[in-house]
Amino acid sequence: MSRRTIIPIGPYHPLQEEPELFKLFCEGETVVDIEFETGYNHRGIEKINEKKTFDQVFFVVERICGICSTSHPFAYANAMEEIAGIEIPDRAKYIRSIIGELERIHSHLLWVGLAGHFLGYNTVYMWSWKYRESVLDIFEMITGNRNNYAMFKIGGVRRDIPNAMIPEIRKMLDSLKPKIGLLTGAVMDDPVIHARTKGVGVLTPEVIRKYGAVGPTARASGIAIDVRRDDPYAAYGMVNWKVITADEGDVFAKAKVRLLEMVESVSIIEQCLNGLEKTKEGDIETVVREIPPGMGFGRAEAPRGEVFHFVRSDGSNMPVRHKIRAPSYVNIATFRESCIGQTISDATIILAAVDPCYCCTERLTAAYQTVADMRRLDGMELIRLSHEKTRKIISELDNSGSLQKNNEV
Amino acid sequence: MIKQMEEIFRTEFSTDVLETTVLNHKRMVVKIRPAALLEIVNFLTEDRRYRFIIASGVSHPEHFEILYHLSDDTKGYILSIQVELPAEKPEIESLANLVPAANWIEREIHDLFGITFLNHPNMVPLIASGNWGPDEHPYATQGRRGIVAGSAAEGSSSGQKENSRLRNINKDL
Repeated sequence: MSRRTIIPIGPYHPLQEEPELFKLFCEGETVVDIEFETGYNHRGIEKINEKKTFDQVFFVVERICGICSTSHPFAYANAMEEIAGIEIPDRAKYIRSIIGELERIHSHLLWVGLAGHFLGYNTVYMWSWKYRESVLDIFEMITGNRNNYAMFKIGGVRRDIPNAMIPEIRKMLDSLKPKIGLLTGAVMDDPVIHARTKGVGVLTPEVIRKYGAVGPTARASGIAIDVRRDDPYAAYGMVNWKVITADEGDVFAKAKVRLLEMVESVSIIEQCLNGLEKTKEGDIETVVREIPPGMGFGRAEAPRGEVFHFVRSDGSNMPVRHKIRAPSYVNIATFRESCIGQTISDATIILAAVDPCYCCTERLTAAYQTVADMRRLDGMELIRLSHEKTRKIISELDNSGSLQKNNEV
Repeated sequence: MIKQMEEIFRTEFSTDVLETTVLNHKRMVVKIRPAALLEIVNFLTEDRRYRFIIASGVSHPEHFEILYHLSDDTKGYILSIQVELPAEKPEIESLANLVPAANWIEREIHDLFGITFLNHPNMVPLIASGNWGPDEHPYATQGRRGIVAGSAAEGSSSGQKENSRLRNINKDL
C-alpha cells in the first residue's frame, strides 16, 4: 500500500477568504480524499444583527466580505424593500447597479491576478492588480472609499452620482476596456495556461446541481443561472446584457467566464450612466418610515455568485431573524468533486478556481505538531509546486518548438 | 405565476400542507407537516428542478422553526418550506441524502439551535468545534437550551411583549 500523505491547507492560508482547513489526503502525487473544517471565524453576525436597527445592519453586513463588500448590503436592501413593499427611484437603481458591476470588475481582476500568480505568471498578476487600482479610483471618486462604500440604504442610496461626474467615469471606463482586452488575450491565447488549466478540476453540471453551486462556478459548467437575469433587481431588468457561460467546467472555463463577464459589466455600467443622465439629479431615495411585520427574501449576484438574505421583522425596528448565505458556502463544497484524482500541484489552482476570496494575510499552518506519517506542505510550498509544473510545461513546449511557433503567430 | 404552485400544493399535497402564504408574485411560504418534508422537497428538486438555496433556523419561545429556501431559477421564484418542531424534542429527517447541498447547513443548524437531523450522513460539528460545547446552542432562545444569559426572560410571552415594546421605544429615539 502506498504511503498516504496529509496536506493541510489552512486554517489561515492565502488561498482562502475565511480561515478554513482543508486536508488533502494524497497517495503519491494524487489527491485521493479531502476533508473540510470550518468555524474558525464564526463572528455571529446573524445574531449581532438581531440587536441592531434595520439601518445599522447595513454597516455590519457590509463588513462580511472584504472584497465584494457591496453584495451583502445589496441583498439585504432587496430583502428589506420586499418586506416594506416599496419601489425605489430609477436613479437609485442605476447607481446600485453601477456599484455592483464596478465591484464585479475589481473582484474578477483580483482573481485573474491571483490565478496568474498561482500558475507562476506574475506578469498577469502585476498587470491585473495594477488595472484593478483604476477601478478602485472610480469607487473613491463616487463614494469616497476604495472599499466598504456605504452606498446603500433602505429605499435607495446614500449618495448621488452628480451628472457632472459622469464624463470622468466614462473616460476612466474607456481606458479600462483595452486593459481588460489585453488581459483576456494574455490568458486565452497562452499555450502554457491552456496546458495548466484545461481539463483540470472539472465540475460537471450534475455536480453543480448536487451541491447547489452558484455564480461563475456554475456558469462555467454550462448552468446558466444568474440572479441578475432570473430574478431582476436594481437596474438589471432595464439594461441589455447577456449571461456568460462555458460548457467545459474546468479551471480554464471559469477564467474565461470571469474575463468575459468583465466586458459585460463595463457595458452594463455604460448603459446605467446613460440612464442616470435621463433621470433627475437628487432623486435617489424613497423614504421609508416603518418596516411592517413580515418576511423578506433578498438576493443579489455577487462576483462569486448568489448572495441570499432572509429577514423576518415583527413591526419593531430590528430584525427578529436574519439569515445570510454567501456564495462560497455552497461553492466550497464542490472541492470534494474537483480535487479528487488531481495532482497536488494542480490543487492550488483548483481550490482558487471557485474564487473563495483572498483578503486574508498570508499566514500558514506551520504551528501544528507534526504527526509521524504526516507531511505538511504550507502555502508557499504548494505554490512552488505549481510554479514548477508550469516551468516544466514551458520547457517541454519550448523543446518541441510549439511555443515558439505560437509566439511567432 | 406563483399562484399555480400554490394550487399544486393545495391539490397534490392537501393533507401535508398546513398553510400557504403568497407574499408577492415571486415569493411563497408553504407550511407543511414535518413528516412530509422529504416527499415535498423531492417533488420540488426532482420534478420541478428547484435549486436548494439554504435553510434558516428560527427559535421561538415554545418551538423551533426551519425554513427551507428553494429557488426556481427559470422563473425567479423563492419558495420557503416551513416546518415547526416542538422545543422539547426538536428533530426532523435530514435532507442531506436527497439534496447534498443541505449537508453543511443542517450541521450548522444543529450547532446553533440543537435541532437533531435524523439519518444525516455526517453529523459532526461544522462551526461549533473549538467555539462552544456540544450541548450548548447559542441561537436557541429557550432559556434551558441556550447559553446566552437572560434568554430565559425572553422565553415567556410577557417577556417578549416587553422586549417588543422596548424595541419600539428605541425606534422613537
